[in-house]
Amino acid sequence: MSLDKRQNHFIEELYIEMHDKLTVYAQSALDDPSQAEEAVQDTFRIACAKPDDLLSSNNPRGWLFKTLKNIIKNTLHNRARLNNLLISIDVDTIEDTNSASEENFDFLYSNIAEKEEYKLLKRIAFEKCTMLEAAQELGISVEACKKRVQRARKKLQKYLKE
Amino acid sequence: MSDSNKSNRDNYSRFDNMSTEELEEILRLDFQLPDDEESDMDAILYITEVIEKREKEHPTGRFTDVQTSWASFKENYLPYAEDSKSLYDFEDTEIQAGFTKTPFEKFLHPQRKRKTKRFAGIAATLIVILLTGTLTANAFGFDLWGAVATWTKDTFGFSTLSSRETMPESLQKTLEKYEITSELVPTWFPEGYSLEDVEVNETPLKTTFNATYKSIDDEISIIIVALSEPLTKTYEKDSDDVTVYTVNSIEHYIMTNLERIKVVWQTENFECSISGNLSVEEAETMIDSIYERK
Repeated sequence: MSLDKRQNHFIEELYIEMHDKLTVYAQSALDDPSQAEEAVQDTFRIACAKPDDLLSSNNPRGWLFKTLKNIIKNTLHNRARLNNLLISIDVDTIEDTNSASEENFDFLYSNIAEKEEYKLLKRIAFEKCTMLEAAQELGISVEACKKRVQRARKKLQKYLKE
Repeated sequence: MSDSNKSNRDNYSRFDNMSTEELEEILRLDFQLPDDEESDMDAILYITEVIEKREKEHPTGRFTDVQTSWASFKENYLPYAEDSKSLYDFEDTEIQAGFTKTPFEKFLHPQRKRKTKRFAGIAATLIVILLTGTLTANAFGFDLWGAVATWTKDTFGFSTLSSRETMPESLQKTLEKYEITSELVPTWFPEGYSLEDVEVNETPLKTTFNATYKSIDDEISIIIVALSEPLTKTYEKDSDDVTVYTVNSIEHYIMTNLERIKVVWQTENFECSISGNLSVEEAETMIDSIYERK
């Protein structure tokens, strides 16, 4: 959704006013400056996706805090789930021990493996890399990076179920 | 300024005299509020304003330049503003916004510390068990005290998301919701016990599942901690008061203290424990049942 001039101006002013305050809150919850910064950016991104909700709120500042809080909870929850999914199969461990079964080799070297995708998941889950950091490393947009993570996660879930 | 606004700001002015650490702790506690409890956004805004003002007067480098952040926002995030779901929402959960106000006094109410006290109680119990028996931290051949200290620090120092399942189907089903399918949960319990509840606490470093099974006059607790990284440390037995029971190539340490049994073991990235009024034979049967399920 593209913003009209009024919405754009309103959100920009709110950004300048609220960025540091939201950062304080995010840092208290996440204890990682990069992740806190990304949570704040994600908050404003959602504000831009829902400008009518924000503008019609009787407390836009409170709206932003509430949205930030939900974003952080969502982030922590889904990182933990991704973590648990990945722990169950660690490609590096399999390669190091040379004890891979034929099934694991199929996983490693089939299209499903796509080691770059798997490494991306590990960067996000284990190394707490932000979506922006991962995107910049890969030379892609944040949106494309998220889609890669979603795709890789679904493949891994499907593989583990089979 | 209206009378009610003035009154609120007069109330909030007590935050001006608190240290930054105390204010950050209030923010952390607010973050830990259950979903059905709403924050006092005016108080949150006041507190963050205080911290922001202090940072501007005495910079510590915690803020990036806002114009730099705005430029990054326009370049990296705004183009993706079609999607109203969070960046880390890999399913289809819509982020909720909107709020209702509750008085800020709840932040300072003693009940807000309930979760913290509960974890302090568990940590204290664990320490008592270690002190009163012949076990010491070194009996396991690794830094148990460090683990407790780290755990306690983690509980107090990081945000904790908590949820409690009332009428939970089973501990196994709860684990599966978090993508955990490893064999961790006993399927056999002594007669008379049934699942009461499952509490889940999430921090950036780990997720803790605390299941309580109750009988008429006693209870069994099962705690499963899913760590964010695979375990590398191992236990070593160095006491005659500890029985090592190996099943499925996993060593389960059974210890007794004050007529209560505690079983601890590690597998994959999980640290697990069972505690309750059990006999050693019952504990072994419970352990066997973990690996007998199909």
